[in-house]
Amino acid sequence: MELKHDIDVENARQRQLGYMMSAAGLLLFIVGALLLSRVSNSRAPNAALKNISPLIPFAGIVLFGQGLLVIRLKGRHLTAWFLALPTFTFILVVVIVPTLYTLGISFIQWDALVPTRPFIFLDNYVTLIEEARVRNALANTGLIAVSAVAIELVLGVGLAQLFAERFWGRSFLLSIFIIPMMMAPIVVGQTFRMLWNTRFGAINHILSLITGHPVELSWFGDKKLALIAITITDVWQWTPFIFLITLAGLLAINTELFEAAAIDGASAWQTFWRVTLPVLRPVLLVAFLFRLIEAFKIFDIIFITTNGGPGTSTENYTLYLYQQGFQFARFGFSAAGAIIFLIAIVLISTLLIRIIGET
Amino acid sequence: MIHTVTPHHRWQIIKSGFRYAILLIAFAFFAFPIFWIATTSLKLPEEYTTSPPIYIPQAPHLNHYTRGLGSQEGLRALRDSVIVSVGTTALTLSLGASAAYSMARFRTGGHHFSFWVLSQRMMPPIAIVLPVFLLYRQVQLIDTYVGLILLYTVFNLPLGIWMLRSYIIEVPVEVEESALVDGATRFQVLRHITVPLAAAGLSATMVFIFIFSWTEFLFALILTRTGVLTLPVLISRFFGTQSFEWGVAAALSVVATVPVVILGLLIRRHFVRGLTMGAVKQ
Repeated sequence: MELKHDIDVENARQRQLGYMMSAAGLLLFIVGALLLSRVSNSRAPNAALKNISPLIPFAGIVLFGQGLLVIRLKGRHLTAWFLALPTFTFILVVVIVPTLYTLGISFIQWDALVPTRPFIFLDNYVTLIEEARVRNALANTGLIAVSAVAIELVLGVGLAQLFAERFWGRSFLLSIFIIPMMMAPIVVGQTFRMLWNTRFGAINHILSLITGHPVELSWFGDKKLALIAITITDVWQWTPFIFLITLAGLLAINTELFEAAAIDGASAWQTFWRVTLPVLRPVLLVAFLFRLIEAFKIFDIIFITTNGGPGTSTENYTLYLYQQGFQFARFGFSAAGAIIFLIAIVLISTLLIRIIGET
Repeated sequence: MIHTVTPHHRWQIIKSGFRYAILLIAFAFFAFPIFWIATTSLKLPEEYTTSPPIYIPQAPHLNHYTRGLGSQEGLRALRDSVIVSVGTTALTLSLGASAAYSMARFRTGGHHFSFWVLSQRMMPPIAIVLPVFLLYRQVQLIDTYVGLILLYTVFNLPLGIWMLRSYIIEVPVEVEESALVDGATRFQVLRHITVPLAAAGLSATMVFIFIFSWTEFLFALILTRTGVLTLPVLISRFFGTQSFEWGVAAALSVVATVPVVILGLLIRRHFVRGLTMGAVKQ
């Protein structure tokens, strides 16, 4: 009887704490929202205030939610949700709100130069489908992504084979080979812009030395060459990605498998196709899809080297949307383009996630 | 065993020679651009505008570094990059670690939720930055540290949560439970058991988040004007039509690259896990 009484008191106290937290959270949210709206409306807001004000309403929501949890949950469940709530709220607010907002403005005509913003429902999507430049951008996106990732796969898997055994200098080379991945894509793009330069660049010079004829290719002046140059630049930066992941997969294979293959008299070639590749399949698939999704979103390298040129011959979908949205300020139209992009990426990443879930 | 040159032996030697030949080509391919940017930063302006190009600077000098970092802009970019990257790392880690712990130990939100978090990483940045730009304009968050940090955090959280989750799962749950039975609070368990045991993973995760924020360009390009300037944005500005600034751009590129490469090489063992968000372990 007394024990039950104690538990009741304890529960009541916890509930009280929860109510207090929720109330405080609500208050914090209101104060924060007011502050935020004041900062938004003032002409020259204080810099520190500008940086802090968006965090206050967020903290308020989190505190409010945690209060509710304290009221309703106990023990393990309380700990679990109490810890996870801030992050869940954060992702929800910062991802869901903008996404819904994008969907909303994709139905209106919103151009910087036009004062009215009429509701036009699917017209932006219709324009998107009819626009020849969109098709061109999509074709370039696919072409660059697929050819870059295909080359990266072949080179990366081949290189990983060489690293599966110990040899002198292995650790040093491994360190060098993973440096490209850590570099800022903008730095990579800029470096290659110097290297591909027609007159002062090293690539034309090296090609001249190899072929024996003076080579003066204008890499960024020709449609095909520009696509090749961008693809190779991406290959340089991201082959190490496939290489490193494949290597991890290779090292995880049970050596008995290879020994059994050797006893059965399999050649190196047979072993690779019949043993190594099938076992590596899940790892390779993960690496491939990760790379493909990233390659569809290339921006920095193209922006700094060709900026889509010559003409629109290297313009990919991200660059196209960037120009429509931020240079021509066609917000409604580029929102429609963004929604299409989101759907496409969600479809591919669902596939990737299903595969990760299985491994 | 009798040591004679058997056909097998000969094959081994050929194979080894073949391996080093390919490795040499691969080394040249990967190292050359790094060599090029490093030497360009040390060249005289007339040395990087000659045809045929000069590979080794004849009179290496540090003028480009003093000009790049000595200018107000260079120092500011370095400072702002540090502020934004450190801020993102701190926020992502504090939000991500508690969520990761909760998901690893209590399966909070279940299977579907954790994969939904993962899918946020795949979002095309251009699709997110458009509405964020319009919303930020409303609340005056354009050109602020916190605006950039919030967006970077949301893009890094999936990585942070998944990486940390995979490390926390490796800490045996029995150790934690026996401490709990002995009367330790959850917080004490975290502080004295889980965090020390997952310390290597925690630092690897931090480095990964840091590298992503340090090298990000698109968001910074769109969401900053004059108040905040990160290194990638500054470097991109050196490429107008004139090529005279190649040296300064190269020097700034080296400055932007060296810290992340050092950090990255320190956590080399964790690289595969970071790249695949814990899906593939090394």
